[in-house]
Amino acid sequence: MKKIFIVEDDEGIRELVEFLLTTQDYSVQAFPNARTFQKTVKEQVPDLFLLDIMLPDGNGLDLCKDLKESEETSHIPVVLMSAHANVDRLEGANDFIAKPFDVDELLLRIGKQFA
Amino acid sequence: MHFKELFDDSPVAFYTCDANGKISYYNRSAAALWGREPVVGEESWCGSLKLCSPDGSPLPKEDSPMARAAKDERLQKPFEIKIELPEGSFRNLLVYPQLKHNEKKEITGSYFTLVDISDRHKDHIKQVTLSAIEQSSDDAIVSKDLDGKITSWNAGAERIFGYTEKEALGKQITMLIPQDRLNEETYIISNIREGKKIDHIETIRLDKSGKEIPISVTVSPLKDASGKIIGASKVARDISDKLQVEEKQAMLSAIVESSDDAIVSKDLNGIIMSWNRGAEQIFGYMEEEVIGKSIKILFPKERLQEEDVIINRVINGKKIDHFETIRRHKSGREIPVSITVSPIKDSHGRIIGASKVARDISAQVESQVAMEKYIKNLEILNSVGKSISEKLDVKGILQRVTDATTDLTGAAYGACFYKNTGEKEGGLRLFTTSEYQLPSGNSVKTSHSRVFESSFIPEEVVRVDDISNHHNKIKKGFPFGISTQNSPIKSYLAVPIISKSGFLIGGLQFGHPAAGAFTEEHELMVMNIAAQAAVSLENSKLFEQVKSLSAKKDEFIALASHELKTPLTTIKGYIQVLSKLKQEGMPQHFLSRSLNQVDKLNTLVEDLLNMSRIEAGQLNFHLEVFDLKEMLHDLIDTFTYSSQTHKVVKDLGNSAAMIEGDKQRIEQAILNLLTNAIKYSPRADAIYVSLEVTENHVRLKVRDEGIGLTEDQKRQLFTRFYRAEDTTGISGLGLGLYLTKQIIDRHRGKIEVTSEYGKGSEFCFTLPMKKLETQNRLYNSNSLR
Repeated sequence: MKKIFIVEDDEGIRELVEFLLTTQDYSVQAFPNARTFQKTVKEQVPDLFLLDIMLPDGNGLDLCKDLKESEETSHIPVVLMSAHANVDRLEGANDFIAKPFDVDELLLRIGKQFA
Repeated sequence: MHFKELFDDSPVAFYTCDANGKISYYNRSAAALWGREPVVGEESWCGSLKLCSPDGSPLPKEDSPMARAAKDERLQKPFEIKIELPEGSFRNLLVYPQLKHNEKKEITGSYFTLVDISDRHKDHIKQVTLSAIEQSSDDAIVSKDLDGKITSWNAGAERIFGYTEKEALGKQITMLIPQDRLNEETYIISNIREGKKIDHIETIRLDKSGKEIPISVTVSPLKDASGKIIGASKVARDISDKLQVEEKQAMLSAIVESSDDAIVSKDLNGIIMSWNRGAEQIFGYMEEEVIGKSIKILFPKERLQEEDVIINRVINGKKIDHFETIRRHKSGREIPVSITVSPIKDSHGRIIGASKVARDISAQVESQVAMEKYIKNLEILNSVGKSISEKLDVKGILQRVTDATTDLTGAAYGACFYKNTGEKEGGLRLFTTSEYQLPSGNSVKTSHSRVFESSFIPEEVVRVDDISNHHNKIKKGFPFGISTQNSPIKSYLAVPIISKSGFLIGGLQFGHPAAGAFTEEHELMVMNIAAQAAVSLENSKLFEQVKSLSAKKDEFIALASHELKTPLTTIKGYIQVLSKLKQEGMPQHFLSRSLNQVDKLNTLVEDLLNMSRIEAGQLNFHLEVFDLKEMLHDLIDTFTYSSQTHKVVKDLGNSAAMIEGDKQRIEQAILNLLTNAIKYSPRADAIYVSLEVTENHVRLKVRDEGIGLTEDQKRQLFTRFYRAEDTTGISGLGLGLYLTKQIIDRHRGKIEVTSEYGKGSEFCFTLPMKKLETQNRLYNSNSLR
């Protein structure tokens, strides 16, 4: 079972995404902010990161950058999502999904990362 | 008749008449005088052919003086007659009559003795003529004896000196001579005694009233028949008139001498013949330096040919009037002059040279130059005013103001200080400088911007002619960042920039290495510009505020759209989850309608955000090359599927329509047109889409049969937030066409509308076609901008 870490501050979206991914047999761990996420990543790593960009205590892009620069996590796919349709630099992220997203499309694009 | 023979041969002409007047005897001399031999006893009174009185009037012989003398004892006196000779000439005779008596004392006849006086008569005529001349002459003709006593006095003398002949005769000639000229008479008399003539002495004599009369005198000795000098004749001419002419001439020459204009004459070879004081002053050469030299010494090299032109005109008798040119001073300095050249003619009317009057017009030229400068300054002021009012950035305004004022004042160095809004207390900061003529390595130290500020604290203009002489008057900190020791700056000018509300917002400062370089005029001009600058700077401040507000608005919209999209994401997700659950009794079309509305809401939020990005110039495009035709097929299929009211009639042709652009944005633009076409043709059931491919462009047309547009609406159609007035009941923010136009414009395309009110509209945009040769390469590059 593939393990996915989600960082999303909005509770509604966090629950929605968690629900959607669980139905697809992914093991999901969701974090409401950067701080709790970073603490966990130091102990264990998942098979995919799904990161919101705008976070109350940080930025998904910075998180992505750190992950891609770290030896332990640089090989793990990162998918970013944001309500900002245009994001200039993706900091090495593997994909970007604009909010609001199509449910099927979200699942499709995450599935692609494991293909 | 011994007696008779005696008479016959006598040289004295003699004849006798009887008591009846008949000639009784005449001798040969009488016949010779008469020129004929009268018949004795038949002709009466005179043997001449004709008889006249001395004045020439004819006398009948019976009434002749002879006849009268023969009858009257008292008339026995000589008388004069004139006789005409047979050959026509006249002879003047003096006749001595004598009566012949008998013993009873009765008159028995007359004796007549004739003396020819013709020669004496000629002398007399001469004398009479001379005296007539003497009397009628305008000149005073006077004679005097050797003692100086006046012996004759004519009418001219009477007229000139005022004495009548009677008064003058016998008086001393010295009565005419002024006291201080009495020795002249001694000199004249001594010359006369020696027989010398004195010609045309000009002197002064007195008339009867004592008035001095300028005269010209010629004195000649008078000799008697034996040649002895007995006196002098003196001809005096009144020369008052002549003197007036001379006076006039003297006056003219005084005028020439005192004239400020250069008055010069030259001959036809250009050799200077006369040179007045004015010429000395204007050209610097003394008279003795230039007489005989060529006029060309006054000509600048490049104007030498002017002299030939001038001389040619003069030779042709023409004048040159007020010709403005340049001549050279002795020092080499060039002088602007206005010259007038006229020909000089001799008494025969031949042109022998030219007179030249030259006026120094430096002052006029200077004032003209000053006027031109004034006009130029006005133009600069105008253009500065215009250009700074057009500029909205502080730096641009201040640089323009600094450059223009430095230029206008002729300053070597100019600087501008400005109190930036961002900074708090004090804060006059050196903003811009203009440095022109300062030699390198001599730059003004402008680093102490705080001290510069003290220049502007009094909020008054400071103008100093020489800062090195102003130690005492200058308070601490002066001269504001410029060292007085070894300063390249002497002249100093500082003008504050004061805002409309009276606050010091900046200042202009100028320097010049020469003392006294700045004038009141400069001060006024700079103040004028400073006032205009103050207005522009305030505008600029307002503009900055607007800009910062606008940035805040954009920030807000970005945040708002993000916040709006977050709940939309959840709503959309759960509706989609719900529609997948396919639970019993869940009407699918409710869910899909909700989903549509969520998408619409999302589009509106997206439009707002895009608008704000376009405003801020932040709308980024991700360019790729794609076939517009294929994209249209997909888009229209989806669109037709979702539209329940209208059919989309498409005519897209078969040619590929390759373009390079942001696919999503182009799609958005086309969707806007399709949505509008349906929205504004509520009673129609179809809209029409066509695609044309030309050599260089692709052209897309979206036509509806709807309500159409008025001219006024067409004009405002593409502006932000514009919505046609009669569209109440049709939803929208008025952003769609604005964004569409922005997107098409940014793809170097063009969008147009044709419409007839009440019949429908057609929107048409063209985009540049991507050339086929480069198609493949770019197609895969997926170039990101």
